[in-house]
Amino acid sequence: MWLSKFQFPSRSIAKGISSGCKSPLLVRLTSTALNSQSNEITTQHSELSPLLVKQAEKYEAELKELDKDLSSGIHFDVNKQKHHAKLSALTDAFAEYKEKLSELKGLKEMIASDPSLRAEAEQEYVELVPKYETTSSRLINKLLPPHPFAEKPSLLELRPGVGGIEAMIFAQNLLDMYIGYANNKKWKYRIISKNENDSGSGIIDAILSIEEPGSYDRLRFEAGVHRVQRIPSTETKGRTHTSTAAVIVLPQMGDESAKSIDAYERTFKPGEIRIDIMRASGKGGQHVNTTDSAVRLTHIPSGIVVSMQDERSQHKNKAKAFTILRARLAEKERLEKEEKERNARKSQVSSTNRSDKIRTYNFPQNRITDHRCGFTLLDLPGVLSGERLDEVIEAMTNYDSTERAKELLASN
Amino acid sequence: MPRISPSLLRKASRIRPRLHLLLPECRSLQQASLEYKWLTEELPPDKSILSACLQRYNHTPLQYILGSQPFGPLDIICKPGVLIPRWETEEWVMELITTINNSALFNHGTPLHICDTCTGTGCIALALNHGIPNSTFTAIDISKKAIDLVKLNILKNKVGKGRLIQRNILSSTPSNVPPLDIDILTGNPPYIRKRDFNRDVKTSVRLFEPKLALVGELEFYQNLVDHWLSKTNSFFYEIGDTGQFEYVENRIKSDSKLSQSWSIGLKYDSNGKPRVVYGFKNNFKGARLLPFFKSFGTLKHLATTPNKHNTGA
Repeated sequence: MWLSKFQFPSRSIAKGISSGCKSPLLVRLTSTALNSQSNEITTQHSELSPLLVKQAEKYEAELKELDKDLSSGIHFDVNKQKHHAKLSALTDAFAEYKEKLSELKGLKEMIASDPSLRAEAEQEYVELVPKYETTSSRLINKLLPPHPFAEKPSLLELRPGVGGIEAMIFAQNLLDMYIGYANNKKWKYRIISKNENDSGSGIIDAILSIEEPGSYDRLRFEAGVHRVQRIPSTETKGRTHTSTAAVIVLPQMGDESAKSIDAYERTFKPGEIRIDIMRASGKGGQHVNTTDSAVRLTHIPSGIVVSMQDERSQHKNKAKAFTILRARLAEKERLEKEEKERNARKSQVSSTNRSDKIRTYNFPQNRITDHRCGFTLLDLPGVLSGERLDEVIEAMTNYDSTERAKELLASN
Repeated sequence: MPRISPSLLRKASRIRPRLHLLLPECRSLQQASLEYKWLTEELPPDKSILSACLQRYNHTPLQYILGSQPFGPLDIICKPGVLIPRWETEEWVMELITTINNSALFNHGTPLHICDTCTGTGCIALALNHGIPNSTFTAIDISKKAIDLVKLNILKNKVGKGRLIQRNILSSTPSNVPPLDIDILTGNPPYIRKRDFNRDVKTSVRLFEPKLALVGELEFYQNLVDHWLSKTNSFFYEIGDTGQFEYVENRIKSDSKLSQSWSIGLKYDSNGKPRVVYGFKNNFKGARLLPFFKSFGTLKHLATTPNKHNTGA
């Protein structure tokens, strides 16, 4: 049913690996050891690049130091405990990796040297390779630095791009897709605001809050311009149109309950935020009974403006606006920091975050293609219902790990 | 107010039947759509959307149709005959809570007694009691409807029990009636001048909200200075125009005793209208609150004698 343009060397390797592993990474990061092969069974595995091995050994040594401290009775604070736990997990993965690797090497030697055991050894070798791949990809994943906001819940903002009503309908489709995705994952979500267009068939904008911690890490690659190619229902001559919608993914920085709104306000310096309440002229107070509860926040240093009007409560609108403002500011700061680091290295890494047109949804071909990693899936309804979106995200996550590992190597 | 153009009405009814009925009150398509959404989401099950839209067309306040109005973290029940809480009131009450909670009084866990006159739905008293730990409250209103509604709102919002008093504060001689020892006195008395009532008050308010809670000159501010200042450490009274602030300021300034012991301030709302007259007594509690109210509003008069308690402490 689905066609993979993905960089798996073969389908069989991918098969044995549970979801969440990084098998394409291995292929890129490792030198492939080809065995002298006399007959049809290929005995081949790839080793971790020496740089990553060195890194892992460094962590191993650090853990030993920490263990020494621990046994000598030095008190560990929470951060140190966390660090210790992280190092232990990493070292365990490294040990497992080394064990599997030596097993593979042993088998390989056996295949080369002992013809009597060859068939058996080859059989065992083939069975061991997938397990080995799982172990080493887990190790690589642990070696890569985590995203600073990986543990955060997320905010998704959707806006139609070019294409008029059709773009608004597409934005609505995307919103439904993310809601379906959240439903599938049994994640709690909430539509914070949604403006439908006048005909009621599409959206002008919408903000979806997904309250699952870590959902930001999963969804952050959704940010960018999504393109749709289809014959719109409004089209009378049967021509295929191309329209776009933009998705912005932001980390949610804290809870936005009414109680914490004061705390939010206080995190900003006085004069940094202008709060506008959209009010008509007149005497106000008892003279008027307005239901207009719209609030607009302007963050003066950055020029970011957030408007919120969905709730009847001005207080809640304000709280929501502060949530979104904080998310936007955090994302902006992160991007700036990332940019700085990248410039410092002077590397030519293309950013996956800001590249425009990240994905195409082609209806006539029932095809979805992610342009960043080249992944294609031929099940448009499955993806748009949110059921198979995970496969696309998985491909992108893998791609990103590869890219980040490259950066890691470059910085080493 | 300009009339709604027929083309806008047609546009609205094309988007959704009945949406145009909301336009006279909402004035814009966007606001009408929002109200329509709220109506569909929150309408009590015994009412139909059509009848609700028709009521709106006849200027019935949305809060009477839906039966509630959010006020800070609370959801206040609203019924005809009792004034609907305004966003201006919500705004200054929320700021008052923040300011008091930031002050030293809160840190010391001092119990505070709140007294709210002309309480109406009880929104001010309940929000303060909900927001300020270790506080108790008394709520006073002349109307039985209001007092009954406060009871419902206490149950609905699960705030601590307060004392409710049905009384006309203007006619009863309050010198010997409790409460006698108040820390925070608040009030949203009727402040629309009679001469402004037909000109400045919106149709919906004029037709549907109780005149008893709306129309007043200076009598409640006079009552504040005459009877309440001796019983409280601070006061926060909502106002409709600067005249009401000036009255309170002049009364206090011109009285040699009061001007020595009271500091007076004026707070504007975020629509730039004068909204609250407030003051602190120059005694132990009042003086400790004072520094925290620098950003609450603008101080117009400072008590002329230094605080004896502070110099003694």
